[in-house]
Amino acid sequence: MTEVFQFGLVPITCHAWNRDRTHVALSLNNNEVNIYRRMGSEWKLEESLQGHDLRVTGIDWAPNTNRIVTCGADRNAYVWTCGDDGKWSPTLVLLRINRAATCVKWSPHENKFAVGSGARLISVCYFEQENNWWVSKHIKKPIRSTITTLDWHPNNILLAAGAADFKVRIFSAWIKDIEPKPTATPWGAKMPLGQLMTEFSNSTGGGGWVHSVSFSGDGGRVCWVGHDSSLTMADANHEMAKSQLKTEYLPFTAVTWVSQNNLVAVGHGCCPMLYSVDDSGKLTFVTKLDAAQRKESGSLSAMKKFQSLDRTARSDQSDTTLATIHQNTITDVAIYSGDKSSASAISTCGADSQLVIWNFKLLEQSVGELRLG
Amino acid sequence: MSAALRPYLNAVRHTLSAAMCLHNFNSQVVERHNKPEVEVRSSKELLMTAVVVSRNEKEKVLIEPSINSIRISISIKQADDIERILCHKFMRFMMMRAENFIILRRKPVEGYDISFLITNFHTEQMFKHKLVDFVIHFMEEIDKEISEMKLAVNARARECAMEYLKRF
Amino acid sequence: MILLEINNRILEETITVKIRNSLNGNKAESIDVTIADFDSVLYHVSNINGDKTKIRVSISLKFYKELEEHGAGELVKQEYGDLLLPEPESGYNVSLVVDMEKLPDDWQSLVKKVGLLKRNCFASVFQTYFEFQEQGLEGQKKAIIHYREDETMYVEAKADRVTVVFSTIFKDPDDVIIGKVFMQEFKEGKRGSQTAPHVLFSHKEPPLELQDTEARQGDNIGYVTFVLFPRHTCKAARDNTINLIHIFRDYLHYHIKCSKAYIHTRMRAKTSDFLKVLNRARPEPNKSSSEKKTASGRAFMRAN
Repeated sequence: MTEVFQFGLVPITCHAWNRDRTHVALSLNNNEVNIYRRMGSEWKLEESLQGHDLRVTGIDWAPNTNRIVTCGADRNAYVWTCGDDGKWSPTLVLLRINRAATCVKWSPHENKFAVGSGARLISVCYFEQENNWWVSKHIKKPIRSTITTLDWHPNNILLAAGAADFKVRIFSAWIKDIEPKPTATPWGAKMPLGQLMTEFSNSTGGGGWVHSVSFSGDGGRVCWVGHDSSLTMADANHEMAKSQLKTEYLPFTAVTWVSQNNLVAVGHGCCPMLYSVDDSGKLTFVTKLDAAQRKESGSLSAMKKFQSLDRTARSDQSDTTLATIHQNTITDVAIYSGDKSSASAISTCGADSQLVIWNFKLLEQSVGELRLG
Repeated sequence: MSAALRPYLNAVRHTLSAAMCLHNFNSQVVERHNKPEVEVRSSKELLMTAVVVSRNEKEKVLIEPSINSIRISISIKQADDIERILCHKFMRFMMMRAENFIILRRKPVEGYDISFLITNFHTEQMFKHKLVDFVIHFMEEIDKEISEMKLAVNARARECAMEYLKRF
Repeated sequence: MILLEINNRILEETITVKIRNSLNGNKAESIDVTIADFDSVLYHVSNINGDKTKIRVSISLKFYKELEEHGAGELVKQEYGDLLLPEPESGYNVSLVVDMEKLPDDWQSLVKKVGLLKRNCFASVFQTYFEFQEQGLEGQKKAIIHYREDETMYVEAKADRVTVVFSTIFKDPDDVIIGKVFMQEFKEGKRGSQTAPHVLFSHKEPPLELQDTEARQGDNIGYVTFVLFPRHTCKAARDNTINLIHIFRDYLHYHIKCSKAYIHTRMRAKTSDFLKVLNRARPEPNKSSSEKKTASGRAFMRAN
């Protein structure tokens, strides 16, 4: 069934998997990045990466080149490489930003990565062979707010960015020094660095910080979630047609495509939700992935009962825990197996310090409506 | 809870649940800072529209959400002078113990009797739905407590007067 | 203890100990005690010229001069007779002496009498005006007694009644409001007791009776008027009325303080109650390892 792992009591800010899912890198809401190795049904802490001096805000693990990039509120980003002895060593990346970095993503080809920040710009970083260091180029216009989320188009050139000014923008992040001229996509043909391909407003009247964006597996569609509890999908193949669903749930914090036509959104509601897009581009709710069942509370020992009475003036704790697996906001979602075009399992982490792996095959047996197509 | 109070508290509960979806958010203005935006108000885009849920002119709740913090200010029913001083005394008493209450603001927002400030750090450490429960419990109890204290003062006054005067 | 005692218990007990000591034939010991009472009254209990068998009890009232104008001296003389020292101890207004060697058989009533020293000093002014009323002597000057700093008592006699007005200061603005609640009940107290006097209360401004006096005005000043009728001032009821009325101001303030203390206790209890409810939002601290089991029954172990 669904695998649940508890990593302590503090929130897990973000997490990233290595290529074969034997290791996970996650940050427990502090300045460290912990790398755990799977040992059967447990996770063993292998190494704690110390480099940032403020909270880590983003982690991404490049599957093929086996490098980890992290960014933090201290305005820095580090690329960590694993030596022959299995130890990770950092390389500082000059982001040239003066506010906290908020998110980081390797490009699909792993030759560059993008960092969003509160400095109202995106740093696109690549390795300069001659000087043997990472350099960054800035995408500034027309960003006037904190970049909260980023996602790469599969063509390694386009970059989707969500911001706290309620906008989602698609930029070109073509670095002409290191890659050939890109070919045209439905998003546009001209792609110098920093070119604004298109811009979407989360809602016509404004409102709703964009918390997460995701390009579809084929790169033709982009979806995002906003703080106004909305889920939106835009399709470049249909003249940027936008389809928005204002949900009745608490706002989502993260979203990802799990198949050509399906999305999973997670957030403050503590329960991952599956949505689908039909041929006309309309978004519809499919099902909750968490078949919420209230847990039976065991009988209390006399000692526990009085402790509880003393601390909380009652002995009944039954309404303290939520019916869902996650007990607090889900902060991040990642694909565990498969890819955006056909994922068979996803992982979520939350402010309750839990990492949960949701296996769709197994879920299909318990959640009747779950059909990925 | 009386039937008249329930819709009011329900409205507050739902507004709070929705407003208490907070994120860790670093300052856009000062580097390496992370302050409750609802207090520093550094940027308009990070503040949500404030909502007033009001039962009548005197009893209302001001809910001011922002990206990383929410401020809840409560105006408590004060029908007469004695309720006014009891309320004032009680709120002062609680605010002097703000460090124990963590989410209590040391000063109420102007025009209100007591304010709570909940930040993303609180919602990360504590159960969000129980924080909402607490605010609702507080609102329910505070009215009751003040009217009971008022009754107690009145009862003592009556007893004192009777006891004194009947001896003449 | 809803009503305050009009005697001074500490004074009584101090003397009783001395007397018992002496009756038991123990050696007399010297004494030098100062006791405070309401209305900044001070008692001083000491020996005269080191004679351990003679206990002198002196009282100091800041407003004794005003009481004397209304015959306090005579009344005290009449009450205490032989006990009274012709010359009071310096710094005090009245001095009594209890001679251990000449104790009467019912020394208990002697002690009682000494304990009522303050009350008896106070009583003179009421006695005088009750007498005026009984004899129908109208037009007497008002008695003005500054019984405390900033607080004054006025007594006036008419043919059919005696009015006693207390001015009192509420130091804390909250006291004014609590005081008003009390006074409201005193006003309505007549409903409960047919024999009670009329009680009136005015806040900030003095009542009409005092318009020609220099009665103060202010936010924190209250005036309480008692209208005493012949049924209160007649000889049979007189002592009782004096007992009650001279302690009124202290009685009122005592109960206002009690109310505040009670409110405080309640607030403390409720605040701790609120804290407990807030604690419900916190995850259980120091979970034992057995509780760290997750929903699927797996346990997480930290490797370091």
